[in-house]
Amino acid sequence: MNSFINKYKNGGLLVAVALMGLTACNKEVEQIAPVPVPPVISSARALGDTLKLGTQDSLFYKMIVRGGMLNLLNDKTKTFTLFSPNNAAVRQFVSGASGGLIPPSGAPESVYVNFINASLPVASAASIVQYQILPQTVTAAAMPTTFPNFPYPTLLNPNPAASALLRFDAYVSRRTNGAWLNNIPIIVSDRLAGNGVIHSTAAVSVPPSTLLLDRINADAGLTFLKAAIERADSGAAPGASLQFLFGTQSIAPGLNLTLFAPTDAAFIAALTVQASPVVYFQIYQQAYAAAIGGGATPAEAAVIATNAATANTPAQTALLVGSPTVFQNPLLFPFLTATAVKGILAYHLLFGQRAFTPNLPTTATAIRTFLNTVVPSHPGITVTAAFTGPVVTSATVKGVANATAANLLINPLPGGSSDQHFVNGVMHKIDQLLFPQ
Amino acid sequence: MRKITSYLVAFLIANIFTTSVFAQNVTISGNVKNSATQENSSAVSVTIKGSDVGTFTDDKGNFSITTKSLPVTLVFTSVSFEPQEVAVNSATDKLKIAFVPTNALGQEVIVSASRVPEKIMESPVSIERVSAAALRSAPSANFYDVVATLKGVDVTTSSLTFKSPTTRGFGGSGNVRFNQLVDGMDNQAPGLNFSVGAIIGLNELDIDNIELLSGASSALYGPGGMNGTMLMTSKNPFKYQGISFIVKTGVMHTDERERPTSPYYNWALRWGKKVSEKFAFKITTDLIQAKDWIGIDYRNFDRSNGVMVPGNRQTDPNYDGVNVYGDETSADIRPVLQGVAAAAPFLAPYISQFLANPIKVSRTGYTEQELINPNTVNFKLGGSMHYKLSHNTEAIVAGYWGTGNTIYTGASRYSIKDFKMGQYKVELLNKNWMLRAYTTQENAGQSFNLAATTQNFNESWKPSPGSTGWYAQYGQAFLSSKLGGLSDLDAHKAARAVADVGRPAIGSAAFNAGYEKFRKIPAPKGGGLLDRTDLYSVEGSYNLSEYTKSFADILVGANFRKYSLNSQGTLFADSTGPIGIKEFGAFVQASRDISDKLKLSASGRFDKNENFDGRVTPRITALYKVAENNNIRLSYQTAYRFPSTQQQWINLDLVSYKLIGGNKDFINHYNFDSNPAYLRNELKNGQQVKYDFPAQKPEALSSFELGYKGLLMNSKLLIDMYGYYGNYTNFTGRVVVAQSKSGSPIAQADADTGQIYSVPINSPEKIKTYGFGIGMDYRLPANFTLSLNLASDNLTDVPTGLIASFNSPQYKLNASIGNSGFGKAKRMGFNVAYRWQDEFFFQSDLANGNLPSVQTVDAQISYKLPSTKSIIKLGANNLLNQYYYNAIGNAYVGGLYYISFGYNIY
Repeated sequence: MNSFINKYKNGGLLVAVALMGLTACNKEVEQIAPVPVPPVISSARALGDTLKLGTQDSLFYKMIVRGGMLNLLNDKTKTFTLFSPNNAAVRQFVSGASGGLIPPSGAPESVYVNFINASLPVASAASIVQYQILPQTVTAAAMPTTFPNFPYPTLLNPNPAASALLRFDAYVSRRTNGAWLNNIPIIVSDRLAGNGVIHSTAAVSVPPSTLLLDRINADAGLTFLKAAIERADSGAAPGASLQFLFGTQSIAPGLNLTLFAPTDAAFIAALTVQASPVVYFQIYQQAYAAAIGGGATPAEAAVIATNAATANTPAQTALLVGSPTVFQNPLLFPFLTATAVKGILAYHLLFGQRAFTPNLPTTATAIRTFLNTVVPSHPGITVTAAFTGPVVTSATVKGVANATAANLLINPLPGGSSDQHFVNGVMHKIDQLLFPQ
Repeated sequence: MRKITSYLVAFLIANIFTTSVFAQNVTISGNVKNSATQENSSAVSVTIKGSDVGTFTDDKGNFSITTKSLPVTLVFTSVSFEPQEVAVNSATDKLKIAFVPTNALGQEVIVSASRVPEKIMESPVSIERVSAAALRSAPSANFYDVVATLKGVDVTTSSLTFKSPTTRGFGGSGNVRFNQLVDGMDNQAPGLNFSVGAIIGLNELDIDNIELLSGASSALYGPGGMNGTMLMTSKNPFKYQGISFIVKTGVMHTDERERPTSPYYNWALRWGKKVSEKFAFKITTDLIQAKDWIGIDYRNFDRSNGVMVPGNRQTDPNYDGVNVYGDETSADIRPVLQGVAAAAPFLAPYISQFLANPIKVSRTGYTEQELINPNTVNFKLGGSMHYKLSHNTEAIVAGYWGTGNTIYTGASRYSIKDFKMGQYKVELLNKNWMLRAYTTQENAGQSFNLAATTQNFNESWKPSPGSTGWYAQYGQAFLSSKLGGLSDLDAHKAARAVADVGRPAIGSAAFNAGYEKFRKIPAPKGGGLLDRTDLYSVEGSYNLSEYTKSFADILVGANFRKYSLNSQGTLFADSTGPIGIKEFGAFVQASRDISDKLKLSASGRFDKNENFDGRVTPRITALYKVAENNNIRLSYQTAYRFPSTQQQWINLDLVSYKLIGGNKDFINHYNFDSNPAYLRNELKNGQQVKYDFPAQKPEALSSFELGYKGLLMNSKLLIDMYGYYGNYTNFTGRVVVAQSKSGSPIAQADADTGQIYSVPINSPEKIKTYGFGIGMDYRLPANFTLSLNLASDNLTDVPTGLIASFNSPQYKLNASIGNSGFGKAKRMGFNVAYRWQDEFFFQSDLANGNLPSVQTVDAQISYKLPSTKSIIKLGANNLLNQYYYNAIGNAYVGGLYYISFGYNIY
């Protein structure tokens, strides 16, 4: 046996050495660079936890907790932008929500906290919080600077049963003098968290629940506008009417209208100018006929008629245009045709652009209106706004045929006259009717 | 013509019978034993010197031969033995011959190099030979793996039983530049275009020898053998008799990487019987059963650009795994998002953020591991009857039939299921001439394309298009997830989870029923492959040397082939009926010894295919004897190849593109005249280069080879080396073109969104190939042998955009050490073989990618039982279980360990 081993040990050794040299394995399937790595979960605090530490965020944090949204905001697999109203803003909101029972400031903190914890319905708290959240990171630098803003979907789905994809939008914009959520100034931006960014805001952005037409129909100062809309819609197919546009829930989300709503006074003023010659002519004709019938010569009748018309036209005109029924008056039908009225109203409307006052340009800028869908070459209206800090203190809008610009009636409070936010658009009252020609 | 035919018949009959009558009065019998081991020596040629009378020893070493008178001299010859002459004066005693084994190198006789027998040392072209003895001592479980150890050979392993060898490049599962002939019959499945020698051919016990001609060989073997020809010759039952069998049992998947550890079984049986001096027959059968290797390449293949890209199912929504199927279906979800934006204007600005670039998403696929039936079964049945019409003329009727399951790699991975192919021949074999008619009958059985089946199955449980289709659900869920604050990737994951709700799980009743259904439905509505293509061939040759030897040795031959393509529109453009293709060819070869040292030969071949012009391919060889057993060879050969049946007629919709043939009928079929196609690569760059579909031409190769073969160091060292240089003209590759889907003028976007075709193209430029090989065999003391070979193959001047699929490592190395008899009574044997191949870039219709270098070690140790000529062998393929794959998308091959018992192994 030994001799056998000795005889072949050299060969065996050779084989053994050769095999040992092959310990280097065949390569596994070559991976293609760069080898993908799963997204890293940030170690930084999540949005909820970041907010909890904020000195001016305690009340909104309470609302988040009340709405059951804290876990979502602390979910680091998701990314959000959170608009967080500061404590002063929440106090203001609580005051409004309490119907004024709680003052907008000055009450002990516990009063506001108790209201949130006990009186604010959970669903409302959830909706309001969801309306302050965008499901993506939008830092200040990413906020759009172009007119008017960018509609980012929020987490708020107004009707989840209808579709999982329904969303209320939030309208974010940035200019050199600030950044806004709708018309609400962003006070502190870019508070970065592990799963997104927080922007502190000066007010709670309350989700709209009504439509433009609801306000127009209900507003005692917009009765002429309501009547004008009805006049414009006479004869129109139901789906093509302004009332359909302003008042249909199913098409409301994302419609993004901006309505410069002339007040009743504005209508009366404009109609007076329009109606006076008609009234004058009517009185003149009637007086002239009466004078001739009384035996006057044509020259005498002309003098009588002129005097009567001059004396009575202002009062008669005021009487005529003093009521919204003016749009139903056959006397003015030749002037207030449905088409003409619709054209004028279309000239007060931006379609697809929900322009809040902070979105308006600071230098006079021509903006195309809904009228351009029919008259593409029309230059549009000219808009200018003046700011004090991040707040618009005055703004004007001028039609090409107007001698002067109309003023926006600045009052952004709920039930006010500017930045009135509805599901399907925003409304600013103005003090002149705009004429496109 | 009829007159010529009748002359020819008369001539053949005269040849057959002129020597068939002779007197028979003295019978000499005896027994031949190996002088070293005392085992009976079978299949030893016994001839009466000075005559053409001869016989072979049977499986017990016995022989009997009849002569008309004594004394005579008997000549005993056999490979691996010293020839021996014995003078016989009396027939009364039984002769006892002690036959002396020799391990002299380079003494084999080969036939294929010049179609006439000659010593391998004197072959005028590069040739490799594997003898039955070499197969016996090889460690490989499958004899095709032995071929891989030959110099310059690359083998592509699709699966356990599907191996495709090649030389000088162009490896791949369906290799159309390398001929495989089994007993003279072209073994290529005529429709599927892959050679099936490994699954439907000879069994290991029946192989007499394998000869492999490296490089161009079509001057003698017809178009096709541009890169080489492998000729497998079975054992003649007159020579090899008795019952032999091998029982091989092994184990695979020992590390359970792909599957649980599973057994490997291979049983082979051969029965050869010489019924009389005139009639013999044989029956062979072979069964392999195992759990196959599988493709587990889960890398991400960008099908539209033909490159591997980073990412996986978790990180790339458009993931298309190489060995994952169903995920070839890909679509841009932006139309879905745009639809949502139109219906929900409040989301339109938000959605516009996603629309800048395509968001391509692929359907969820299933892995090969999940889809493939793990059982590989391969059953072969063969047989032949041989009748000696005279001493010199043998009539043979033979058939080889096989069926089984295996896995093939084409444009996708194919489960070759219940595939059946039969080759049947009738042959007359005279020492001077040969006439053979054969047919190949192919039936793809229930074979199916994994990708097409899975894609169609996916469509069946949830269609891709439509307002409630998979993509609509995906797009909406993606958006919904984004609106919930998820990252893009998480939103894609969530969307996939939503769209995949109801996706049948592997193994579920719903999956099984659905998948079964779609694998049977023919493409393109399912994945089934209906291929019943047949080939009919008649060929003959005549060695005129006995009439012309004063001038030269002259050999002439001719053949005729007819293909009948029949896939019922599932593979070829033959939905209206089978497509016939006819080819014929003829050759002549003349060789002459110019002097003792120089032998020249010249041959020429003419071939004509009905779809192509006729072509002549010449071959000129010179052999110069430097010294005894030291020869320098020089050859110039041309070879050419008609485009394969698939290159002419394939019409396969692979969803992301269509693979079509080059026949001019496709121009009308796809309206390329009125709606032209443009080169896609150029189109991507904004250039519109119209593709005019030039007439398809056969590709041709001119090749020079210089070689040397010699015995050195007292005949202990055999060196064989060669260098070659070749020039391809009209090289057939593929080019990708794009056509407008709508019929509107082509636009840059059509490079991505148009209809894409992969079209065969003849390269207008010459493509060069060159390489070398060097092999050494060394006889060590005590019967040890050491073999080493190194080869290199290279391709240059490939034009940009041409997919050449050269698929050959630049360098490959084989080394082995073995001993066929050592220890007590030289009963022990062993062999260790090592192979290494360089990394290279692999291209195929399935996928392209970098293929890392591969090294494998095979080993065996054996013990002989001389009394029954039995061998017990313990072997290992891929001993170190280092998984490798040698083509992108192919099976990942691990270790196979077996023990075998072979009875009556010659």
